[in-house]
Amino acid sequence: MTSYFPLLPTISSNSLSKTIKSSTTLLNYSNNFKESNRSKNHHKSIYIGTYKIEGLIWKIISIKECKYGDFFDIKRNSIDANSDQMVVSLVRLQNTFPKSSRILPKPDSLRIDSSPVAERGSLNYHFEDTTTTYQGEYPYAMSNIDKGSFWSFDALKEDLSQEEKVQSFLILMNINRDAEKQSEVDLDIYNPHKKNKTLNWKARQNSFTIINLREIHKSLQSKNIHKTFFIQSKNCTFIPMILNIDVKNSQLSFEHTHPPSELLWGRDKLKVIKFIKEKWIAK
Amino acid sequence: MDSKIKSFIKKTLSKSSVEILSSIYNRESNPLSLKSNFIFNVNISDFFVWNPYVARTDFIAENIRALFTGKKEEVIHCFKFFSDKGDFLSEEKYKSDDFFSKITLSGPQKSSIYSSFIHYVEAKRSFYDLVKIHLKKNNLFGEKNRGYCIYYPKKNSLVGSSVHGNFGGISRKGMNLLARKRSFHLYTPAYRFESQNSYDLVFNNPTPSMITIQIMLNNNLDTSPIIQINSLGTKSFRLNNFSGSITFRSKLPICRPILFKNVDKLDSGNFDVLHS
Repeated sequence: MTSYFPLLPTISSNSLSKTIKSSTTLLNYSNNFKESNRSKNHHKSIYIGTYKIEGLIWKIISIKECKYGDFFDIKRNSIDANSDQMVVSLVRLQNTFPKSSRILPKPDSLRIDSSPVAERGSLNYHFEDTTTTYQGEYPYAMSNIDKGSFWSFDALKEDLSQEEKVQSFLILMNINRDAEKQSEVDLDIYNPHKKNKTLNWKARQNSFTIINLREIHKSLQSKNIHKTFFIQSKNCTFIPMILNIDVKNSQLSFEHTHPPSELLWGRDKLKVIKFIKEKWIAK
Repeated sequence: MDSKIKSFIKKTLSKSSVEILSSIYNRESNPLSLKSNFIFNVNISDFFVWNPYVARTDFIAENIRALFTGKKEEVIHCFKFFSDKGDFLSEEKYKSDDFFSKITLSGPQKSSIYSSFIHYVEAKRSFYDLVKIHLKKNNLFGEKNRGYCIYYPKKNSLVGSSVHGNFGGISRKGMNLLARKRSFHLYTPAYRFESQNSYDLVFNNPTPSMITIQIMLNNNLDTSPIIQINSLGTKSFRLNNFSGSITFRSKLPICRPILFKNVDKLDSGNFDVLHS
């Protein structure tokens, strides 16, 4: 299972005196393998190509050689890209990266056997002297999905009743290998106890959608600021992540939320999840 | 396996048979017992870390019954704590009918070292039976109690650091453990440890037998501490003045410790938690 490694968007808002900057860290090392397969491990340099979406193509920003055992870092504020432009790094064993392409090149894998754990990178956010990290990736298989549906929650947001000191952002990430897939997508956001009152929000394929959850509460005129809201889309899939910040104390927190399928296990779990998703998304 | 044989098997056998064959073929990297392919209606939990050094730990618990029916369903969220040695310590229960609950955990009394806990749900009706009523047939599945811990570094912290649980496969009684030791694996997260920060690497053992984990500092292989953890136990390793990557050698196919950054400097603002 190969992966793409996104460079997260810069986060800013009126109440933040400084922006929250992002970076991505990769490592030239097979992340998990059986010790008996150690001899299969390559000890060579890899090449990391970083692309951005510009118009309807993926355009290369940089190609870097990364020696065996070394780290690779890329920072949003050190590249030629807008604050929320889709930027993706991918690994190749040879230095073969097209300068531009409608279809994002397929990444190579550093895996040497069938040991579990997806190939991941450190997706970092920085604010003043603090850093928070989430081990994440965008699975190659998911980047080939043109349609799909999405149902998630903002349960990881913090208590937003502390006026302006605390900010919570929901970041929805969609990557499609085909750069021409940039359609606008409808999101429905609602309090599950008041399904008749739904806020419509716009997202886009092949982009980051940043939602300030304080604004959502204001828009939905929610009196109970602790309530978990549901977010869904009938025709696009995303990886949802929540970033919380205590502006005064510079404390950051960043984590993804599990897809609903992670709430069950066993052979027929997807039948039950399909029932739940259809029930909510159809409403 | 040869791709032609793989393709033939996929075309010939049912999906579930292919899954069972695959788990047998990849047995040495399969984190779950083979019997997990044949059991259902067993609810399992992730294995969460209790950190005694932070000011407060909240837990985000999901209510799968309410999510399934679309309305309030009363459940009791239960948390069972195990000592660093794996012995049962205490239990907490919280009633809720909401889709999600944010619960402030009390944790084990007078706890001064890392330990672990599981989350499970009690309700009048099992989720399995609830699904059977609506879908009109038996389905082979079980609940997986995931949830998130939010660790607040200080009493007045407005934001805590959130992380989901470690690989568990632990049934509600803490007696049925589906995780297994296999052959030795080497796991190396793409995470840059930095010498200006301290790190507590916290491991817990969801398997029925003792595990040994070697912590290999990749630019200083002369220092490779080894820790041993009882079944359901927890051990931590404090890392100071180290820059670079770390490999974890163990018989766990998934050996991903929870990393707590700067637990010894909780006032610094640079406290972080992540699943490595």
